[in-house]
Formats: sequence, structure tokens, C-alpha cells
Amino acid sequence: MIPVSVREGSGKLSGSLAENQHILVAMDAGTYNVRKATCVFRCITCNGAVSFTVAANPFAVAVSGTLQMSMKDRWNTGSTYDVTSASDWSSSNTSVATVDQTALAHGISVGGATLSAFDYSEPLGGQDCNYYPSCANDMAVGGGGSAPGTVAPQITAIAPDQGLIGTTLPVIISGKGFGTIPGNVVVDIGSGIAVTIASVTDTAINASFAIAPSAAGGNYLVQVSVTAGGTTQSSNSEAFYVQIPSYLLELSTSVIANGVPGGCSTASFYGIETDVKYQVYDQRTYAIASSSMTPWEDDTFPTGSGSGKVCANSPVPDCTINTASDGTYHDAPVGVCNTVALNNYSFTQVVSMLVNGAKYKVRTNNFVVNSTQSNHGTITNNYDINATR
Amino acid sequence: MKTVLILAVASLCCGAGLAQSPQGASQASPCSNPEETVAVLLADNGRAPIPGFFQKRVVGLGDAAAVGIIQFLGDRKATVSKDSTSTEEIRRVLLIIQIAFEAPNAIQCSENRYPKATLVLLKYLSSLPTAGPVQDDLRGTAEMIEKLKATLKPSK
Repeated sequence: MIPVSVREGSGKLSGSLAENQHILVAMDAGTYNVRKATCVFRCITCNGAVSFTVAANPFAVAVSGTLQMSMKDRWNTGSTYDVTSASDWSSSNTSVATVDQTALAHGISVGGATLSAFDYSEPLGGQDCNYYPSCANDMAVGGGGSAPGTVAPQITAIAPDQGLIGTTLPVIISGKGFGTIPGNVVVDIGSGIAVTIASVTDTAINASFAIAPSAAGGNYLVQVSVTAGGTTQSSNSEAFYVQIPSYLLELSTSVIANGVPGGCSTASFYGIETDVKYQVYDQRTYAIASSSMTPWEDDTFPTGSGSGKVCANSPVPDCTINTASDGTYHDAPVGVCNTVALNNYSFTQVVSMLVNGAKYKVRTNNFVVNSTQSNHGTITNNYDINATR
Repeated sequence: MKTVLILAVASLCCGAGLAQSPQGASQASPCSNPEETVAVLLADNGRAPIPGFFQKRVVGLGDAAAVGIIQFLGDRKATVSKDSTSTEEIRRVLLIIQIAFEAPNAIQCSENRYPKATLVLLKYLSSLPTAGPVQDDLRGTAEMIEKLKATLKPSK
């Protein structure tokens, strides 16, 4: 309320919400400039933007990846406004990164670029903003900001993403932005695994991972660094797991028939012989799909002990077996036969996997065989193996 | 005796290839020593249980099994003329020979696939006074070996 006695002066009408607000001005009499809310022509300054901020700053986007950028301005009043969609966006190096008018940045190739935005939609704070001819500017608008950033290679998958300790295996690193020059690419995975790069395309690295017998088991982070245009950019990290033979799961147990290799010789024999199929598991109880493990047993019998490679029975008896490519193998024959009855005949079998000179214990079987009648017998380890002839 | 020595050398040569010990493994591989393997099976006067572990080692021995048996029996002989091999032991020896040759393709060492020492051993056993009750078994085993021999080419 302006007192009746006030004949001249100036004032500022502000709303309680923001700079843009409907305000009803009622006057009984006076000279009023509706737009500038002034009574006289004079140069005055607008409320408006005083600073602009682009995010992310710095930005980072993967090759073929996208990143939503944004810009906000801050007014002299302290208020902030999102002017992303009202701004014009541009890139300093469109061969590295582009940005569209929705402020979505696109990674094109490995390198560095600066993304800029310019906003014409709001007045600048502290600038002339009236129409009086003698004033310098008319409603000065326009301001913006920029953000430097990088476009980096990206790993999307590693196949296989796990490998057996002490072995060398081919690995394909899939992703984007690797370039085509092996010499420009470095695969970092830390100590314990040596990486040799065979070939590189922009979307795949063919490498071999040599996992040292002394490597620690568990997760390793794989990161790819690509040098282009004098700068080196590093990818995201993806996990590769080093498997250590830790556990043996019995998959099946079958009785070996009389008279065939591995079986009791004839029906007149007591006891039982079996063919046990196993799967080797790692420390997470994930299957180890590798043919590079040699099953080994250290056995203790009532009459002595023996150690050696585990034998299989099919297609021919073979004591030089390795695991199959899926990490399974057969142990046969397992049991005992005799020409006389067997009463709680007990023996212990400690099973290990040999890999590149190292030995990993995976299971202990405490077997008990009973046979009080020829051509009949039972074997159990009191756990997961139970068979009857 | 000369034959035995030659075959013993051959079997030890082959055994070296079969016995691969891992680092840190306590190695008492029966593969590398047929005599030790057959000794387990001939224990208790030929009545010892036959664990699968040793059975599968015998499967791969072939003629080396006979060499091991001759060494085992010879170790007990006090004189050339004296022999204490029992009927039960002969029976068990025949079983060992049958197992040793039941899967010829499983015999890793090619020189052990031809039953040279085995034929000598069978002839020797049949001459023992204790072989009377097992003469039929001896003949049957000899026929099996002769039949196998006919299909094989002798190693040099």
C-alpha cells in the first residue's frame, strides 16, 4: 500500500514464489508502465540469469554409449532453472562425441571433446532490460556453459568369465571402442594373470589369459585402456573369476557287471565294484568346465596304501584320464571283490585334482563294503554313494 | 632267469611313463612297480581282497603282471629247487593274469601287450605239485593267452 502522500518514487513488486508469477496491481491513479512497472523511462536492470552450469562436468561416456547432459542457470535472486531443453547444444569434436538438441550425448570414438550449451530463453541478470531508447541494451538474453569430457572404450562381456588356476585359456573381451591396433590396447587384470592379445577389432579383443599356479582364487577386475590421438582412455571394469578345484560332487554311481573289466570276475565272487561319475566344482561350488585337471587318488586299505591317477573304465580301462571339457570324469572301478565274504571292509580314498604341477584336494571318501553272499555286495561312503550288487 | 631280467627292465622302462607324481604328492605308485601291485593281491595266501584301485592297475599291466608275479614268487624262494606257492596263490595268479590281459587296448606299454613272460609263468605254475586242483583253470587261462597271442605281433 503506497500512502496517499507519496507522490513519486520507485518500488519493486515481487511475488513470493518466483520470478514468473501473476501479480495483480491495483492503482487508483498514476502513470504506470505495464511491462516495466515503472512510471518513468530510465535504465534499470532486470532480474535474470547470472551463471550457467553444465552437467556432467567433466562428462564421460562410452563409445556407442549415451549420456544425458543438462544445463541449469542461476538467477541473481538465487533461484535456479533447468534450461536444458531451451538451449542449443554443440560438440567441439564431433568425431569423438556428438550431442543432440535433447542434450543426449553420444560417444563416437575414443578421445576428448567439450560439449557446450547456450540458452537464449531468459534474461540476463544485471543487464538493461527496458525499452527506453537511451539505454544500452534491450532485454539482454543469452548465456551458457560447457563441460569437457572423454569418450572411453566399453567392456560389455568377457567370455569365458572364469578360468581354472594354472591354465591358459582363450578369452574374448566384447565391447566397443577398442580400435583395431593391438599395440594401442592394454588389458589390465592385475598380478597373477598374464594377458596376451592376439587380435583386436573395435568390438572384440581376442586374448589369452595365463593364470599362474600361484594366482589367488576369486575375482579379478578386467579393464581395457585404449590410446587414440595421444590420449589414453580406460574402460569400465568387468570381473573374471579364477577357479580353484575345491569340491567334488557325485553325479551317479553304477555297478560294474561281473566279468567285464573293472567288475568282479564271476558271480562266485563277493563284493562290489562301481563306476562313479563326478563333477569338479570351484570354491563357489560352480562347475569347473575344464579338461586340464587330472584326478589323483591317495588310498589307504587295511593291507596297505596306494596312490595314482584315477582310472576310468570306458571305452577301455584307462589310468591316464583327465576331466572332460565339462569338468566331469568317471572313477572305475571303485569297490572291492574277493573269493570270501567281506565284513565291513573299509578303505579311504582322498581325491585331488592335479593342475599344472599343483595338487588340490577335493574330496575324501570313507568307503565301507559288505558282502555276505557271493554275487551280492553293498558299498557306501555314508554320505552320497550307496550301491548294491 | 635271463628272460625275467629282460622283461623286468622293459617293465620298469614302461612304468616310468605311467608314474607321474605331482609336486608334494606322496608317491607310492603301483604303476611303476608291478611286483608291489601283485603283492597286494597275492597277500594272505592269495585270499586278500581285491580293491578296485589295484584291479585297475593290473588291467594296464599286461605281460608286466607276469614279471611282477615272478619277482614276487622269486623273492620267497630260498633255493632254486624249493617253491612254496600254494594252490590258492596259483588260483589268484591266474586271476591276476586274466585281469591283466582282459583289455589289451588298455595296456599302455606296447611291449607288455605280448604275453612272453606270461607263457613262461603259466608253464612253470603247471609244473608245481600244488597245481593239481587248478589244472583246469591253468589250461583255461593258457588257452585264453594263446588265443590272444595269435592275434598279436611280438614286440622286439
